Amino acid sequence: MSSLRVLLLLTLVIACSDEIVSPVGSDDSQSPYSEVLEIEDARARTSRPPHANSAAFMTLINNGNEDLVIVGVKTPRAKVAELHTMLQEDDKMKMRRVERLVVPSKGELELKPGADHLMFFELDKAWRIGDKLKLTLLFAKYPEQTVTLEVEK
Amino acid sequence: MLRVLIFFLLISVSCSDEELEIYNTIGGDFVLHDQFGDKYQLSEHNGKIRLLFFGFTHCPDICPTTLAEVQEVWQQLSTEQQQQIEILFASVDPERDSSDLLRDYLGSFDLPVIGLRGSDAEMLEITAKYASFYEKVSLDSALMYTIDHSSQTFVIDRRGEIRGWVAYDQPPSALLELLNRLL
Repeated sequence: MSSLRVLLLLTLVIACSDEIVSPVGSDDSQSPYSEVLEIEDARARTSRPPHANSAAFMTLINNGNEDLVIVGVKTPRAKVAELHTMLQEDDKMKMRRVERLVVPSKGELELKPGADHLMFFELDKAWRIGDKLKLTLLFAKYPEQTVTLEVEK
Repeated sequence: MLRVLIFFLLISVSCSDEELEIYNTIGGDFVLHDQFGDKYQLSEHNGKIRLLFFGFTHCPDICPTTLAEVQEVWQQLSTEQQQQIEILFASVDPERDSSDLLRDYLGSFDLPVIGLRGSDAEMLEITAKYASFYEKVSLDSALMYTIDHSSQTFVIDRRGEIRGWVAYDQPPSALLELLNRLL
């Protein structure tokens, strides 16, 4: 096999592997500021019939000196993506849309079931366990961050 | 001496198996229909321990989380124990939750759940009996409307009486402990 062929094959393998094996967690190549914001334990929830909605969760760690304000979220897998919170009054749980979520300076924001979380509507199709999907967080004064999530139970 | 020791041992065993309280001022019988259109009357299923949760299929967070936690508990029970329990998911969204939708939704969980539905009036009456609550709320969201609802899981004994409940923020082990006291 000529060295040119080997090089071509190698290039193809690299290009394909980028598509197939997306890293789960923060996509560092998208941002030069990854030392400021760390994203851990990012995962999405499988959708259930009628596949009307799904949710995503993660922990955002802000190592910077200023609060980071999330003002939106988007994904190619859903037409509508929103920031939501859950209010608890006695035994009543109330889910509400919010305009922003704050990752405090030198602190963290845990997006989890029953608390602040990301909501998705009008899904392109069912979100199946094991699916990998890209999700982009939009910040008020910070570059957008794209994360690859795995769909879990 | 040995007799005395056995006596104290027996006493300590019986004390650890303390009776669960009976909450007879709430709860009670009801008649609804399941996801296959068949009538379900709570009292006709006496003899089984029932877990009762009020939820809805478009519920984005609380309901799938609760069902996933019940599933976790379920997997820790033996087949013999599982056969003594019924899991009831009563819809508080009569407008959207058709029996077909309930069937598809509950069928997506690896758990034998009986989906229950009734009219709005029936559900209001039943949730009131169970000291629970639900309310349709318009949202500034693509969800259009959601249902605020009580989020506890009731544990009903073989005679149809409430013996406790587990709040949403309690771990699955709390439910397992309650069930173990009744099994």
